[in-house]
Amino acid sequence: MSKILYELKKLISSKLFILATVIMLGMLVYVMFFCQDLSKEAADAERTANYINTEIPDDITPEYLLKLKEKSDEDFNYILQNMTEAENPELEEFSLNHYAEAEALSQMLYSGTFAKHRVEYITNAQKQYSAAEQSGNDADMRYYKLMTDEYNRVTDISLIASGAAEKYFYSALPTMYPFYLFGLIFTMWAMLITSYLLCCERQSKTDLTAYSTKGGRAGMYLNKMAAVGITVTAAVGLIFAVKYALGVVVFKIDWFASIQSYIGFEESTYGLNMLGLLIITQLMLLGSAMTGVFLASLFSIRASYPIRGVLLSLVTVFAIYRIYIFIRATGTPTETVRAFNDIRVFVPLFMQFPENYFTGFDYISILGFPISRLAMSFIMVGIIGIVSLTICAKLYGRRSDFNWKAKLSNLKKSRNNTAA
Amino acid sequence: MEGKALKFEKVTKQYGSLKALDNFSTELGLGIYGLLGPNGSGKSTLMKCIADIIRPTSGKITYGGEDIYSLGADFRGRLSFMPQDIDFYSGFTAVDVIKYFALLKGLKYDTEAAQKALNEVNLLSSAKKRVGGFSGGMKRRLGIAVTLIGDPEVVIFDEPTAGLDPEERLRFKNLIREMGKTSTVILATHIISDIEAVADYTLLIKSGQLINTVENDKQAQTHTDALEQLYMESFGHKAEQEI
Repeated sequence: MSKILYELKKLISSKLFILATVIMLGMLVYVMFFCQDLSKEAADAERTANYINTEIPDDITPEYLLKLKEKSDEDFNYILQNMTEAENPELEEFSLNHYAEAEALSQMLYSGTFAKHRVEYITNAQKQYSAAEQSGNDADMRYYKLMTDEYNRVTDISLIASGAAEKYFYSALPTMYPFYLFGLIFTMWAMLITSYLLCCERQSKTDLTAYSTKGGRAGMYLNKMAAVGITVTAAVGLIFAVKYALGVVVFKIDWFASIQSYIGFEESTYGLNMLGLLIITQLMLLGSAMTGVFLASLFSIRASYPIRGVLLSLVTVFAIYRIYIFIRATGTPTETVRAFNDIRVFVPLFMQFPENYFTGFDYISILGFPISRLAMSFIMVGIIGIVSLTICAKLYGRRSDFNWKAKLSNLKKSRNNTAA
Repeated sequence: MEGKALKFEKVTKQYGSLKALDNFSTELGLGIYGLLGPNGSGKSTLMKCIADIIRPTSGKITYGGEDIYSLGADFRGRLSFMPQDIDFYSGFTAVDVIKYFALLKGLKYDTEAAQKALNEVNLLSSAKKRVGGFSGGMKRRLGIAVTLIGDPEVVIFDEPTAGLDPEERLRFKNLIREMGKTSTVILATHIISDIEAVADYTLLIKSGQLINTVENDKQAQTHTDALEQLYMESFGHKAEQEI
C-alpha cells in the first residue's frame, strides 16, 4: 500500500470524515429533491416546450424566428397597451384566456431573439473591429475578431428540447440557487477533510515520529494533499454519475441536445451539448472545492484542530470578497456587475453565478489577449494550487528537502556505497 | 570513538530571549547515552534538533563529519525518534502502524515482517487489533516497535518506560542494551534507575548547557546510588521537587 493509500485510510477511518460525508450526501439528496419542487419554473418550461414543439416546424431558420418575433412583438404590444387600463375587464379576460399563450410567447420571444441578437452581435463586433483597426488597437482587434468568430461558430439552434429535458434543466443543472447551496456545502466538506488530515498527526501525537522520518514533513504534506485530491475527485465523480443516471432514468433527458436549445443559453458561444455542460459544471464544482482545499491547507499549518483551519480560511475568503465588492461596487449597477464578474474569475468559487460563464460571449482581455472567463477561472485554480502547495511544502519542509544539488550528491554517495 | 560520531558544536537554540540550548557541545559515538535534567533544562529541544523537527539558532550538529541538516532526508533515514506521550491513528491496526512507518522510513514491510517487529515488544497477539483500543503501555510498546524499524543508527527515546509494567520495562532494557552495541542511543528519562541500568554515559543538562558527562560503569563500581546523588547535587531543590 502506498503512502497516499495510508492517508486515505486515516481519512476513511475517522468519525469526523464519516459524519461530514453523510451530511454532504444528505445535502445532495435534499438539493435534488428540493429542485424537483420548483414547480412553477418546471411547468412554465414544459408549457413553452410543448408550444415550441407543436407550433414550430422542424427546419427552423433564423428568418422564421425573426418573423415569429415580429408576431410576438405585436401580441406583447397589445398586452402592454391594455395593461395601463388596470380595470379593463376585457384585458382581464384576455389575460386569463391567453395566460399560457402569453407565457409561451414570452419564452418564444426570448428564444426568437437569439437569431436577431446574433446578427446584431456580429455586426456590432465587426464595427468595433473596424474602429480598432483604424486606431491600431491590437488588443481590441483580437477581442472583436474572436467575438465575431465565436458568434459565427455557434449555429446549432435547433429547438429540440423536450418537456422532460426542460424540467431536468431546472432541477439538475447548476444554474440555480441549490447549486450555490450545495457547492458551498461541498467546498466546506472538502476544506474540512483537508484540515482534518493536516491536523491528524498532531491530534494523534504521531507528528514528531512521522516528521523525523525520511520523507519528512513536506513529503507527508504532499501525500495528504494527493489523498484529499483523490477523495474530492471521487466524490465529484459520484455526483456526476448520480446526476447522469437520474437524467436518463427519471428525467429522460437528451444529453446530446445543444445547450443553445435551452432557455437562458440561446446566446452562449460554447459549442456544447448537455452532457458537455454537465461535465464542465462538475469540473467547476471540483475547481471550487479544490480552491477551498488549497486555502484550507494554508490555514491549517499551525492549527491543531481541523475546524480552526476551516474557519480561518472561510473568514479570510469572505473578508477579501466583501472588501473587494465594497471597494469596487460604488453603488452603480454597472460597477457592481463588473465587480462580481471580476471576482468570479479571480476567486474561482464557481458556484457564485455559474450560469454567467455560459450565457453569452464571456471573455476578458488579459494583456490584450481575449481569454474566456471560464478558462481563466480554471487557470486561477491552477495558480492558487501551485502557489499554496509551494508555500505549504516550503513551510512544512526543510531547506535540504528542496536542495536538489545536495539531494543528487547524496544519491551519488549512496550509490557509491552500495557499489562498494 | 566507534562508529560515526554525532557531534554538537556550540549548539544554541533561542526562543525570544530564552535560551533553551546554550552553546551545547559534545560528541556521541556508539553506545547508550542517558539525558538527565529537570523540566525545562533543554532535553526536549536537544532531541528535536537532532530529529530535524526544529533547527538550532546557531552552532552545528554533524554526523560522520557532515551537517545533519545538509544531509536532510539521508540523515533522517538513519534516525528513529520516539517522543513522550506517543499515540497512533485509532483506526489503524498495530500491523498497519508498523507497515506505514516502515514506508515513511523508506522501507517495505510485509505483514510477516510487521508481526516480527511486534513480537519484539510482546504485541504479536494484538497485531490485528485497532490501536484505538490499546492501553497506554501497549501504545508505548508499539512506539518502541516503530522506533526499531530499519535498524536505525541514531535512536532517540523520550521517557520510553513510563507506563510500562516491570516485566515490559525489563524487556525494553534488554532491547536497548542490544541496540547500544550498533547504534547511538539517546535516552531521556526521569527514572534514574533506568539510566543506571542501561546507559554507558549520562549527560547532565541544566539551563540548556551540558554541565557534566559521567561514565556509568565507573560510577556503578563505587556506589549504586551515585547517579541519584549526583543528580541531586547538580540540580538541587528543583530536582528534589521532581523526584
